[in-house]
Amino acid sequence: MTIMEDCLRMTSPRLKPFLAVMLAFFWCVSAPALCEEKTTIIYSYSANDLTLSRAEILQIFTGNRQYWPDGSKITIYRLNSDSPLHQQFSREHLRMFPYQLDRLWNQMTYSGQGEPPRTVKNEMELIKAVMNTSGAIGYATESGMTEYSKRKAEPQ
Amino acid sequence: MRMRTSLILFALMVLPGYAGAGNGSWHGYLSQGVTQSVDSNFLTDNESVTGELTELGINGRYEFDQNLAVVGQVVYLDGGNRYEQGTRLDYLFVDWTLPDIGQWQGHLHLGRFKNRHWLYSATRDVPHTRATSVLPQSVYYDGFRDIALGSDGALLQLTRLTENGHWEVNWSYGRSSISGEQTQAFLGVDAQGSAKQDYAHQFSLFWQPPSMNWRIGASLLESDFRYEPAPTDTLISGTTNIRRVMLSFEYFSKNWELSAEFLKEYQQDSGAYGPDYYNSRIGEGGFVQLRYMFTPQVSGLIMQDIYDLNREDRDGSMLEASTGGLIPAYFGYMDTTTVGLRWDIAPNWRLQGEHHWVQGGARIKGLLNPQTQLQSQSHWRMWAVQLMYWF
Repeated sequence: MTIMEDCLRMTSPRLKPFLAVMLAFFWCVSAPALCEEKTTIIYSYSANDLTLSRAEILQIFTGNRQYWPDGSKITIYRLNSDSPLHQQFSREHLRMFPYQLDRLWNQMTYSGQGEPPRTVKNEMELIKAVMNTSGAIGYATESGMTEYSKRKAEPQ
Repeated sequence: MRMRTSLILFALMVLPGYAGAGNGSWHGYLSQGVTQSVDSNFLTDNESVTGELTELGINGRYEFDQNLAVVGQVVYLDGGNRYEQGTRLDYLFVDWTLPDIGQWQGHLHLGRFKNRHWLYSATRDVPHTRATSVLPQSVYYDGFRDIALGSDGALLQLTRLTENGHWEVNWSYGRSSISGEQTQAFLGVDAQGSAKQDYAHQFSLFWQPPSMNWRIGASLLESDFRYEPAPTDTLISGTTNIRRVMLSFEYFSKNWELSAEFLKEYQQDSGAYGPDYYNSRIGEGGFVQLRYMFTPQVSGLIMQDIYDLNREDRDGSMLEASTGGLIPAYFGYMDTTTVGLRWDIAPNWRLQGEHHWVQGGARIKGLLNPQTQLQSQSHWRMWAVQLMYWF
């Protein structure tokens, strides 16, 4: 709300009500996006100082890079295309729509160029699959990681 | 041939089992449709509603290590009158991952490789990767299908995916075999000899910007064919040279996508019908296709496809005159309007339907066959409904 308050302070009194309505409108419209928790890339590949750039993430999730630097196979885990988390990940990290990604993988799979990602049901399964599979990669929210990785450590 | 295909199919299914987890994998698809062409024998004869729309395939990939893999796919296809029904070895090649050069990654495919130069060419026979069961014939002419799908030879693919966008460069050189039926489709039913492809040389370049929401590409093709007459044959030896230049474009939005391809095709024929026979023409065409996604599961499609056999004879009148009226003028062009509907019933299941309204017959197989000319009217239509499953 700080931006809205700053704007209102700087404008003339006659414009204030109009501007307030406009700002409120845009805040409401954008609020879900602002509140949406960002996704993070998770992987179970142990290497010193490995940081994945956006290009490398793109290469891995589009099948252009299928092996880690030590020669071990990358296993990709993902959610269904209609999952909000998958849609958010596709836009945030790949700048692609889920249908683009699906088409790319179908073309790769059926023209013999690679093994498609493994699809799991929900975020909890995705986190667990990545944590339990050597060389796996996937995505999750920070809160999902906190909740489900902790739950894994707890006795069931 | 049948025995060889069965052995490869067996190997594709068994090899991944021996390979162990991570090194071997196999996938496949099954699809069956119902189809009809009306006022033309393009899909079916006598306007029959038939099930001549079957596509089955199984593929396997075995990775020896991170640099070397062998991959193959066997398919069974029934596309009505569009191409020969039967089992085919779709591809079987060694996939060699080349060392990175700068930020470029490379693959070399040796064997029967797939054509990766056009938007739909790499998976043209995989139903769920296509927008429609019958692809726009200007670019994806089904009479030429087996030759355009891939070749026996080598393909080099280079990709560069960075913050600045995605580059893809493909180069290939190879040849395909041409069946007796295809020979007669191109040269007429009197052809008793065999047509052979000397080579197909292709190059393509694609670029996708960092925003990833559109993609543009260009491709070049050059190919030589020759006809070797049978000992008793009304035709004599002859040659054909084809050069194709094509532009491809795709735009992706949240709820809709646009794709288009435009081609110019240079063809020169000499011999075959007589020692002095020479024919040179430039064909032009292309399609624009819009898909709108009503929901993630349901989408609709509209497409316009046009093709002129000879840019100097767009209404086909010269074609009719040069054949003494044997080939009607409307075989000089083919314009198609298509609407389609797709429903993803469940994960890996899809139902797809389409209807095409067509003017002309330039892409109907067997242009020189009198039966084709008799059965195809200037205005005709076709439709197909196809159920598909993939794994």
